[in-house]
Amino acid sequence: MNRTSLIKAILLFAIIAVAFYMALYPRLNYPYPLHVDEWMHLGYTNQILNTGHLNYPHPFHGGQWEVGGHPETGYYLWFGTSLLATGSTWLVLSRLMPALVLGLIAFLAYAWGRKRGFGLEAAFFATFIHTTIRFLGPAFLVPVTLGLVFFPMCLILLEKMEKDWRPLPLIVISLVALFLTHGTTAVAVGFVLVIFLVFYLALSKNPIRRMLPSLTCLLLIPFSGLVIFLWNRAFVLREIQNIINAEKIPLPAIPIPLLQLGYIMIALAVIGFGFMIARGGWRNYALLVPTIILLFFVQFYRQWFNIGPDILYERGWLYVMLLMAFIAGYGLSQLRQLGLVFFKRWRWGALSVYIALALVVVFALFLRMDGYAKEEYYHVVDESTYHDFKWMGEELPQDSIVLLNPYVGWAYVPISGQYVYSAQAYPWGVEQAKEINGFFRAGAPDTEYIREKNVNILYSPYPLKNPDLVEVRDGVYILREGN
Amino acid sequence: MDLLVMVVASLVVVPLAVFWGGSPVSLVLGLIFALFSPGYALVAAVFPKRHDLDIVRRLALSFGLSIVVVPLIGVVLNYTLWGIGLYSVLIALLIFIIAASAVAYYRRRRLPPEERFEPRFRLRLSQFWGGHHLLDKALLVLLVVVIIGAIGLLVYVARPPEVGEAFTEFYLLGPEGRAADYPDVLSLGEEATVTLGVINHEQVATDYYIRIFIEGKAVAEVATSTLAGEEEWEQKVSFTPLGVGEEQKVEFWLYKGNENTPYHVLGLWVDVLGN
Repeated sequence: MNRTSLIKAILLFAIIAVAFYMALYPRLNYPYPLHVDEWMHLGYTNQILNTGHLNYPHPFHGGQWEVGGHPETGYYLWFGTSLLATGSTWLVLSRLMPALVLGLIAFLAYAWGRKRGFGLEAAFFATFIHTTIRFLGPAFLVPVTLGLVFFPMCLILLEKMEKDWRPLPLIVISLVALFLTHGTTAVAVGFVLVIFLVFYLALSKNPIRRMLPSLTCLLLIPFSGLVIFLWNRAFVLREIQNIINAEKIPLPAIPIPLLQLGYIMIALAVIGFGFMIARGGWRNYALLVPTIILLFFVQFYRQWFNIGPDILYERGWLYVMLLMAFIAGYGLSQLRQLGLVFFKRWRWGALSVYIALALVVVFALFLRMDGYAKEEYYHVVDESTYHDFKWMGEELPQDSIVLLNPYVGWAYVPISGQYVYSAQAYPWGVEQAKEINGFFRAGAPDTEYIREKNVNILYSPYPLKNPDLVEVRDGVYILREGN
Repeated sequence: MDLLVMVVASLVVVPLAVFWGGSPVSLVLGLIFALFSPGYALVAAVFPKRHDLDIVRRLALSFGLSIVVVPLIGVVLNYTLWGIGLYSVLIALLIFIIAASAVAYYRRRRLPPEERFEPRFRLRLSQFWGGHHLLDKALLVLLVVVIIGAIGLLVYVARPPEVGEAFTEFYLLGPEGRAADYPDVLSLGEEATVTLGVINHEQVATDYYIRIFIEGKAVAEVATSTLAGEEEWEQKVSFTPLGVGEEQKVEFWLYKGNENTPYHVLGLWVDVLGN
């Protein structure tokens, strides 16, 4: 191992350590999953492992209806397999996995960018991808986070395919797996790949014989999406309906989240844009064009075009941030090369350039952490609520159905293993949440209401005064036998 | 050699996951088994030549393609008799790893030795230490420190933090210690029994006592011993209703230390019939 390789290895491992820290930063002082979606996905994963099949009773409501062909099944199988192979609890793995996945994204970004001289820089800025409770991100263990891995991975395979047929089936099965994991990301990855292939086919000077794998890939990419149509036709048709008749998003518009990345990274991305245009070449254009299109799409489509589906708008920022990380990495690497050439006659020139770049990196990291610190994350459950749910799972009959605030319902099921009457994520189910909360506030006087809902356990934030209920723990009431 | 090591390590994972699941060794090997080995075997089978991929891209694709392989195996298992369970998933993954490794081995053997991919991890420390510049030695030490630091950071931040929330669990079970068979209908003078439990999460040793009231009148009192942090206390307690009447409220007031206001109150209702 020569000196340069040693330094690169040190920097790479340091970047991976940064990735671990970034992914775990929002939960440094909190042991449980943060976002309601994380809890929801835990519920689905557990249900698949409990039933052993991909058609199963609803994970939160039980036998009221059956789930089949879930569009994020791939993610559940991946996480479920990790649980089985390690024998660990979901509590351990749901904390560990976001760090490992962001570390992997950074490593893949390095592997992709290093041949073009910006591997370390791309890896570093890939760790900057932001996480919010609105559009999610790498700090949450959710399907879209796993999907981000596929961007650099497919780009590596695509590059390899310039000379070779062998990556072609790997790209196709990757897209198939991604469509089963997170369809929106699969569409975005497919879109980026198509643009790369179009630029390659149009601008590369390779003979036509060597372009055949890429041409075949271009034709096969749309067909890889067929898998999700075969898997869940109703879901695809519903999403197509959403595209045609965009429904109003029930949430407020997202303010531009790029500022959270810090001004330095944004400036470097702008510089990278400039260098890419100046240097030209199909590889540069192929990275620039999808980034610009996606950026305009997520920022302006709602106001200008009003086309759906909403999920692309919600998650699209993550794809933009990842692509911008590559471009910012390219910008930083170009500055480095320019600086080394410019100061090469000066004795301390190279050292000065590296010190200046190190300062840029440190300040970029500082600004990024500042952006992270300003972000607010909610906690679905606190420690005492977690212990309440755990106790209920251990002590109350397994076939219990619990009436509780629907907004903690998604956390209740994975912790207790029991079903709930209702589980919702804000802003959906507001009326139902109000109704249930009002019932609790009134002291749950109507036993008939409880019976109608087929529940036998209540978890109330208010004291209940119904003589048909036994308070067996703070806030935990069970319906008296015989009532 | 690399394929053999991977297959052997994968074979170890199955008994580890079954018998010692959750241990640190099982966690590390299980993660490698699920997140690295399937992809590595696949990459080795597809790209057997040394110059097909450099080591960095080979490793990167191994991680990435494992994420591709694992869900697809799960989907296939769904349509088999065995379904998606501990044994079926682990064995199916194991079969995939062994089969892909066998293909990789066969394809490598067909290549001239100098063209085969063979990972080389020969780090001759003594030679390196003796023959290199001081700066290189320092860098090597720094690399080791950074790697250990990265793993240490992961372990440190991934461990569940102590939240430090101070609270007490107080619960009521039936006479058999289950959340069932609570006293419901009693005869006058009949003694009823329930099980009370306290778990101290107050972060400090705490004394508790419990008073039992029926229709607002104190009928019994029980004290726990001093409970250390995270210590549990559970005991059967009995009470006897004082008079006849329907829907009499029985309350269990938990007090902390010498406080006069109850910390938690639990309650049940009983119908007391005349003899």
